[in-house]
Amino acid sequence: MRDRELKSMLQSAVPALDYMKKENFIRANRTGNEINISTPRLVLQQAGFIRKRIWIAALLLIVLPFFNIVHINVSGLYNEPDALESSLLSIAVFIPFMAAIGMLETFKAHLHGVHELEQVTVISGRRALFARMTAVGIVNFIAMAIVSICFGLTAGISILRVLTIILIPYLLTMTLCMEIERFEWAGKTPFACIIPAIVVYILMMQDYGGAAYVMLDVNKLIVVLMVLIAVQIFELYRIGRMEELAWN
Amino acid sequence: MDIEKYYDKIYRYCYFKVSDKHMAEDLTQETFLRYMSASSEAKEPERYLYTIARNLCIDEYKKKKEIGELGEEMASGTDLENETIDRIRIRAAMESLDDDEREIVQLRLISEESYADICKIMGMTRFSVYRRLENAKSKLKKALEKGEAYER
Repeated sequence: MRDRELKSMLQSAVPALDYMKKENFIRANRTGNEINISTPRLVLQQAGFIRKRIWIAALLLIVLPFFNIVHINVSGLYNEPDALESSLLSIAVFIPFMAAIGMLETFKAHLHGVHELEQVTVISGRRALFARMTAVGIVNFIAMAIVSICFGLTAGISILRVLTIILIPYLLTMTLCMEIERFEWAGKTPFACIIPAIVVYILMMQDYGGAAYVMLDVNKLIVVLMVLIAVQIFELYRIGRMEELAWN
Repeated sequence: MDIEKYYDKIYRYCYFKVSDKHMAEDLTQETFLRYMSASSEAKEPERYLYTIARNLCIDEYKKKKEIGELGEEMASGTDLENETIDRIRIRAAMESLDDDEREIVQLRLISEESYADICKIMGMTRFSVYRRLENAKSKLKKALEKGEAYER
């Protein structure tokens, strides 16, 4: 028998303790000199837990448009609106997967069966979850804003239009991910977040022929975006009231 | 005082002393309450915590002995009823160790304390802790392998 086997055998002989009892005790006996983390600091701290895949996805999102813009310039498609819109759509189809990876990152504690998020005993689980969502959201939004500005300025499309075209699939994927996350099976597999991304991708690709989605008027795009933002707020409210986080 | 840091370790330590999950949880919490009720923060909290935990476990043992509950739990306690054969074998193997060895095994292998902390808690030199742990490990391995052989 190896030392490692002996150690794991001894440790497995101790039954798991009652986590609720432990948390309640720690909360009840917390002394005044415990760490009190401000919201911006908490968001920054949670950003430290974000894995490389998110940064890579954000970086890809910034790099891809530059290739597109170079391609448009080289091939002389600058004066063809259809080419520009198609090029924009080719960036937008990448967005659902970026949103899905972000959601996967947010719910990774749930996915790995961790009963508590990092630092859940110092701050509340709900606060940690929302801080992580904010951190991931900020990273993604900065990337999307950079793309919108670059594309808008160089390809001659309004920045607001580019931003709405990018944000719609992003919010739609996130909403579907949050909805699917409520199912028990979804908490056990990383593919759960990929399903909404694929669904949104298929929807967008179906649209590609008629280009109806990217060809929509800015005002209509803003209305769709507003509806999605409202749904997203409602979803966040529901997450905040989740039974799993109720005790925390 | 970071309760979170020591809670699981103290719980595991108490569990191996009292062999009852609920009792171990209660003793763990009592350990922290006693530690916190002390007027000032200890310079070596781990040493202080383990000393309190050990004393509480001894008190509990004495209490059970007085009221004659000791040993009965093996047959009737709900925790122990559900206990796997492995746990019983491990407890039997732990019985083959002397007090210091058992203490060091609990601190090092179960609670995963560092050698430096174990030296402070036990008041021993690093070499002494190391030697006793090695002895304890070989005794445990022998006892556990013997147990396996009997099962077959």
